[in-house]
Amino acid sequence: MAGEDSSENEQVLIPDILQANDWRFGRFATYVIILQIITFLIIFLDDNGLISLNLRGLFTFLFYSYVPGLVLLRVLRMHRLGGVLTTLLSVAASVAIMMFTGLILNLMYFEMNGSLPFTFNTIVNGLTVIFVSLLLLSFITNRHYCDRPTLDISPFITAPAFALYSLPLLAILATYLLNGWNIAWLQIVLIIAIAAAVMALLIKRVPSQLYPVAVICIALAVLFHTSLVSRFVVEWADISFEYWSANKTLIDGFWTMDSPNRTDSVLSVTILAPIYNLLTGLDLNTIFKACYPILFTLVPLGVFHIARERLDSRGALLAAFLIISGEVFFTEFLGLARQIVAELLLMSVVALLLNRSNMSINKIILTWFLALGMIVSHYGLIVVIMPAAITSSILFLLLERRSLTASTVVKLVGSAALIFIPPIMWYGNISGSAVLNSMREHIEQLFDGSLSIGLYEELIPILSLEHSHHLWPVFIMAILASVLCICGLAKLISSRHELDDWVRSYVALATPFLIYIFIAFFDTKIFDFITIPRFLHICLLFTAPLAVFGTLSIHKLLKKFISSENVKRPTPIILGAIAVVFFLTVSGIGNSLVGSPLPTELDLVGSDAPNHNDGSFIAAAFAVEKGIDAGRIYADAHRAYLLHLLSGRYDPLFGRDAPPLHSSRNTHYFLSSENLEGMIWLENPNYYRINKNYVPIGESFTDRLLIIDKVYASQESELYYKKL
Amino acid sequence: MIGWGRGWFATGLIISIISILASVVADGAISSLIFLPVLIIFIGLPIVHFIRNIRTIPNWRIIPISFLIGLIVTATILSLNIIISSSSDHVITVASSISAVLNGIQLILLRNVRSAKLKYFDKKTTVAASIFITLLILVAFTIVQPFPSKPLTEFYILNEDGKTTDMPYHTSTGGVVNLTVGIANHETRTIEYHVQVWLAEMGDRTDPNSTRTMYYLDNHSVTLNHTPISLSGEWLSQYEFDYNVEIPTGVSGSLRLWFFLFADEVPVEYDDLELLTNHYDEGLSLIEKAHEREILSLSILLHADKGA
Repeated sequence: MAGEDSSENEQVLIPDILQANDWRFGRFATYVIILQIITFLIIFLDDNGLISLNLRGLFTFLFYSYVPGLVLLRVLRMHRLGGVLTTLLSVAASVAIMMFTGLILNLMYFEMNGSLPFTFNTIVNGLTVIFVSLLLLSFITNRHYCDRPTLDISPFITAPAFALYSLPLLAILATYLLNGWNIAWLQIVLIIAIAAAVMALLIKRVPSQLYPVAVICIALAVLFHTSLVSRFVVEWADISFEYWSANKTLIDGFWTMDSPNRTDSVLSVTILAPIYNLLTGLDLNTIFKACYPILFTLVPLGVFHIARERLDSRGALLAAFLIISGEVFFTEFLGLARQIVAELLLMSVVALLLNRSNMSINKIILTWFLALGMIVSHYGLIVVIMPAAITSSILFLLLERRSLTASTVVKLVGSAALIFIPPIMWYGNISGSAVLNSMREHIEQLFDGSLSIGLYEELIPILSLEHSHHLWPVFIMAILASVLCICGLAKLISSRHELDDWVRSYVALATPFLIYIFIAFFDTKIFDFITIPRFLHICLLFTAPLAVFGTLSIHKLLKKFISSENVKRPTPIILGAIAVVFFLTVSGIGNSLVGSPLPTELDLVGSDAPNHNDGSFIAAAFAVEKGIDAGRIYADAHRAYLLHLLSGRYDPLFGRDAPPLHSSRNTHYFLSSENLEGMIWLENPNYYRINKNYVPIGESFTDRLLIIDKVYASQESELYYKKL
Repeated sequence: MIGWGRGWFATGLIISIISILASVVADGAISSLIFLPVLIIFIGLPIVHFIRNIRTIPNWRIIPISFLIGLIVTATILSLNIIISSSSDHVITVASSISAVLNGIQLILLRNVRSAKLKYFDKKTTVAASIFITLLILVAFTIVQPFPSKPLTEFYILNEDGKTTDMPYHTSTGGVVNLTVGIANHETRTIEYHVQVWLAEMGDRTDPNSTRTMYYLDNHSVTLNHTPISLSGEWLSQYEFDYNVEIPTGVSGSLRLWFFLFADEVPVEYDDLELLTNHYDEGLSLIEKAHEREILSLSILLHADKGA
């Protein structure tokens, strides 16, 4: 790593708790057992009302999201990985352990008449058995390893560090003001503070240990400033469907493996969220709004880690910020818990593959374990990864042709088999093969070209601002990133020296995703499971370091042709400035300056994102409990999400100009919020769940309501019953 | 880094005493909040200080060990309390008392010992740390005091089985319609509610403006305290009463049974009306207010046969 800055402060060294897996076994075992005891004691005291401030939630979440994976790393003799990679792998492995433990308990319940799996006692017992078993295994396999990694904590108690720690706290306070009083100025201050922090970190050197902390704090602040909007989950993408999939597991006490919904087929939602709920005592709203975003911060951290293999900390921070600054990162992803988990596991797999140590069998086992976790976490990501993995394997074989061994080929073929066979087996058996059938149909459509929209029909209208304005900045950034990536790739490949292991592996991994970006320009529906911004986000996970490489190579090139006096500013700062401006634009600061409609995170009341108030929430809870025998509970497009997350019932009102007048009996109509002021969100019959029409509720519909039974009323909501 | 001198034990003693007082006079949430620093630091810190006289403990381990000791002591007290009295009523009082005694002893033992000179942060770091701690306290406040909900009242009717479906329709003159009426007060203050029941004869059940008569049937009053909104996803009732409506003699055909809810007091124009009497104008103005959502209202459609 070039250009690191050493702290001038006096060092304060403590044993490195982030690399506790490297400690002497006795010390390591004592450490993790004490943490486990503390967790149990906190749960015990919390159950009796003696713990406040959600301390139980925080501690149990951190423990179960970190420690089991750390013990697994010890079992697999994964050492000297550094604090960042150890943290990434520990969290990813812990998440995978929790998902598979839940799956095993669920299978035991169905196949061996075991106890009801998703209860507090069963989950705690199951995870404790796994924890103790892993600890015993680590004693058997790895009790002799001993190292004394130390951590200098002096950079973590400096002014820049405290400033970084303050960002997520500021986000919590800013959303508190927005939620309670719709006051957004603190949100604007926060966004500007984040932008300033990024620029400051790019311009001024700080101790290198602070950069990963910066990635986490900035990512967390960016995520919290949207995820904590409203007391309930905001429907950015599929959150009501994911919420219900998790809620159903909790209500039933087990996971129904043959439920036909897509979100019911992934363990990242159906098992992980209920496990967090039971362990932490936090409700599902908090888990989706706080816990999953915390996990998501490790995705840019993974990009940072990958980039830091070749760039200095500032370049790596910039690569991570390219991910964070994308609008999709802090909006759409908050409604995609399954992709958050899958990407966390993906980044840990990539980081492992690019790790410069030998591909020992233990490393392969861990890679496969994490890859299996990724497979059962999200089908959409797997569909994207499959072709890229094949291309990467072929590229890797070509690049490694001089030093190719039989074992390398076997490992590659094995990994390719792992990418194909388990997803087919999993999604072929779970949820009545609904997901696999969708995949098959999609592939058929891809081959017969019926999904292909093409350059003329889609891209040119987007770029010429004829429609889909929201995609325009995405495409512009994608084009810029592509150009920089090509320069970066050219720089890496055209090196005078022979390509080293890392470069060969990285080029093999990143190139397919660079190709993907170009394909996406010509075929915007290449992957039906994933929207185009999400697809480009996945590509950027692999190519962001390339973009920074490209910037550096352009900078060097300019230096050759232009006198150095005219190229004063290092280009990472220029790229950083572009990314910061892009971030300020997509986060709504630009809108507030020019008076355009504001996004939800800046205007909770006036925005069009489906969010719910307390009155709507309790009325919906009333409707689903007391109206359980109704054939349907119709609601407008936004309130239908609310009913769905509470009961799994999803009966939106469809229409373009006015709500429909149904003739069926035994139906409820649920009205809330803007409905009571005469407006309604209708699902567009053609673009279901994508486009919605905001129209006046109309006299015909109002008159219809006046002649049926009105069975519930509050200042926020009403429920009607049609019996005739 | 940080000197663990008398100031810490004095603070521990003061907070422990406040915690004892809070456990006696304040509610559970506040007392557990004040107890938190006692649990995390001040039970364990004096004990760690005793241990430090025997063996060396690095500075960075003091808070984690204090926290562990605090947890163990509190959990032990809780376990004994559960065994003895099957409750956790006095745990905070006892644990805080122990903390006060231990911190007091340390204060006495250290009365002649000069505290180690503290090493302070530089000015910039001190300012940044102060801002961070202030934000941390404010965030803790947001957890203790979530942003407020809009005040509201829930008003509903249920059928005999406690559901909103299968609402009664066919009845007869003199027949009885059995319903449950419910109210929940989330207005953040105590309110006296008045439910007025009216029966309208309709010219045409499909025409909301065809009301021909408005019989004032009954009034039901109740005073309800504020109850917080349950945000767990499980709906909770506060107050319900069974209401059996007898269709008055001479009233038949398409009917609409109205329930109007008044908070605090019934407006003068609708107060003291004679029961079982047609008050068409007053009733119609109530319907208008209900349509404009100026008052909370419920209504169900009925059809009464003449002959029964």
